[in-house]
Amino acid sequence: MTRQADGAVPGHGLLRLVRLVFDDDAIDKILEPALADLQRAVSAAGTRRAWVLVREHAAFWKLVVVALTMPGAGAGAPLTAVLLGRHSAGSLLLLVPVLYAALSWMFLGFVTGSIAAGILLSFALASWNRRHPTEVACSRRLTAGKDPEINISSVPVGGDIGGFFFVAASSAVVLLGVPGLRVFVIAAVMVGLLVAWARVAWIRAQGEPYVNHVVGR
Amino acid sequence: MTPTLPAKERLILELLIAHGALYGLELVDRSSGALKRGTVYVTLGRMEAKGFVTSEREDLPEGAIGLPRRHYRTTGFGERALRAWSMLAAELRLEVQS
Repeated sequence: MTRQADGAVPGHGLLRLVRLVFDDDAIDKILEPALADLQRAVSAAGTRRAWVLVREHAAFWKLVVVALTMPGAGAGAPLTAVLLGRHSAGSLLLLVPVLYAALSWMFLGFVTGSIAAGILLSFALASWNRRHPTEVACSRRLTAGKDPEINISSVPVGGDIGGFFFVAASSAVVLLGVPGLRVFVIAAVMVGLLVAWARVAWIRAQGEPYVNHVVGR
Repeated sequence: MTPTLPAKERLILELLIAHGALYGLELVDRSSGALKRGTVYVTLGRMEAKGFVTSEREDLPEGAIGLPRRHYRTTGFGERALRAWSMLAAELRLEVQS
C-alpha cells in the first residue's frame, strides 16, 4: 500500500470505534481483515476513490451489523447478548430505547387516535356541560379545593351521557389503534342493540311501562 | 456437535483447495459473486471456529501503515469434511436418480 500520512489512511477511526464493542478475537479475525481490505481497495482506487470509499464502508458496516447481531457469526453477537439480558443493567438501558425505536411506528395510529379522540371528547363534554350545567362532569362527592372536572376518575361514567361519551371515545381509540377489532365491535354493537330491543319488547309484553333511566335522568 | 457444511463454506473450502492460501478479498473475487465482502469474514470466522480453516496475519513490510490482512488455508479436517460431504451428496444423487 502506498505510504500516506497516518490520518489519511481510512479505517483507523473505524477500528477504534469497533474496539469499543467487540472483543479482541472478533477484531482480530473478522473486523481487522475487513478494514485491511477497505484500506487496500481505497488506496488502489485512483480517480474512483469517493465511490470506492462509499462501497467499502457499506460492506464494512454490513459486516458490523451481522457480527453484532448474529449468534454464531464468530463475534459473539454482543448486541444480541445485551438485548437478551446477559449484561443486566446495561441490557435494560439498551433494550428500552431499541424496543421503543422498533415498535413506536406500530403505535403511531393509536397515539394519533388517542389525541384526536381526547380532543373530540373534551369538546363534547364541554358542549354538554354548557347545555346541562348541573348534570354532567360534576362529581357527586365534591370536596373543597378540588376540581373534579379535570380528574377522569371523578367523572361519573355509569349509564349517563358521560358514560356514553367515555365508552364511545374509548372504543374509537381502540379501533383506531387495532383496526382488526372493527368486525368484533360492529358485531358487539349489533348484538347489544338486539338485546336492548328484545328487553324493551319483553317489558312491554308484560304490560309494564318502559322507562329509559338514562334518558330520564 | 455435528459439524455442518453450508454451501458458502463448501465453496470456500473448494476455492482454498484449488488455489492454496487466499486472502478474504481474493476469495470474494474468485467466487463469481457467491461470496460477499460484507459477510465473507463472518463465514470465515465461523469456519475457523469449526476447525475447517486456519488463518494467519500477513507480514507487513517495515514502515507500512495499513492493517494486516489474513491468509486463509484449509485444515485436514476441513478437507475431510468436504470430501465426506461430496461423497454423501453424490450417493444421494444416485439414490434419487435410481
